[in-house]
Amino acid sequence: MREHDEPKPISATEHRARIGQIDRIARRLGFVGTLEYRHVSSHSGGAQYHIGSSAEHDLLVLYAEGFERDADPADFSLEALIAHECGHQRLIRNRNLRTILAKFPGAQFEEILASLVGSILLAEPESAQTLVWKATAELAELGMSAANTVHFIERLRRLLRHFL
Amino acid sequence: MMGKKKLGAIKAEVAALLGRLPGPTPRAWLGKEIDSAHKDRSRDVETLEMLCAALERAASNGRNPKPRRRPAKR
Repeated sequence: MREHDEPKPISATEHRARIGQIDRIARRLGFVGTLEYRHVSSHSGGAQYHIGSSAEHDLLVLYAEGFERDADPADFSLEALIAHECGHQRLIRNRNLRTILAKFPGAQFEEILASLVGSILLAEPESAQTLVWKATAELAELGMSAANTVHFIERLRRLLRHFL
Repeated sequence: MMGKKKLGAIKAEVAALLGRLPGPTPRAWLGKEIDSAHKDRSRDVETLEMLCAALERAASNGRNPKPRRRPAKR
């Protein structure tokens, strides 16, 4: 899909199948709240978590891009995309994880932590490791040495797993 | 939000980062860390192995494509 292009139309059956797939993955990963599929381009990566007034009112939206990325062998799987957004929900809704999040303020760190939480939620190691790689690349952008980045990712992931 | 960066680009960045690890080779440094983590319960072997996999994927130069999942049940 080119930038600003809308996705090709899909049948009602395919639309229902996509909703079912999102629902199965997100519920398996422990998402609480409303799930939506919007067959439009988000230009934001394919999935988005929206905080509600409570966990039950949280919203996870998957966009057409999410499925296009999943179909691309050089891109993230749908499981990884959804797990990352579920990671955001856990960071907001789990009191212990919220404490960790508070120690690392800033949107960039929240993205790193969401990927690491998502990687722990995923039982499937192939998709899980892609989220660890994403978090590692984003942490490296902060200018740490390679060895420190590896050690920090290792410690963060262990800490998050302890509280999940 | 996942961001728009493709996994392929992220893999390349991680491989470049790991290429800067100290020691004779990045694989040797990670191997030592994994050995050390196996003996220390406060370490996380799985995370280190996942990073090591990034190096190995880079070495195999994309010969291991993302595994395809089963199509959705309808």
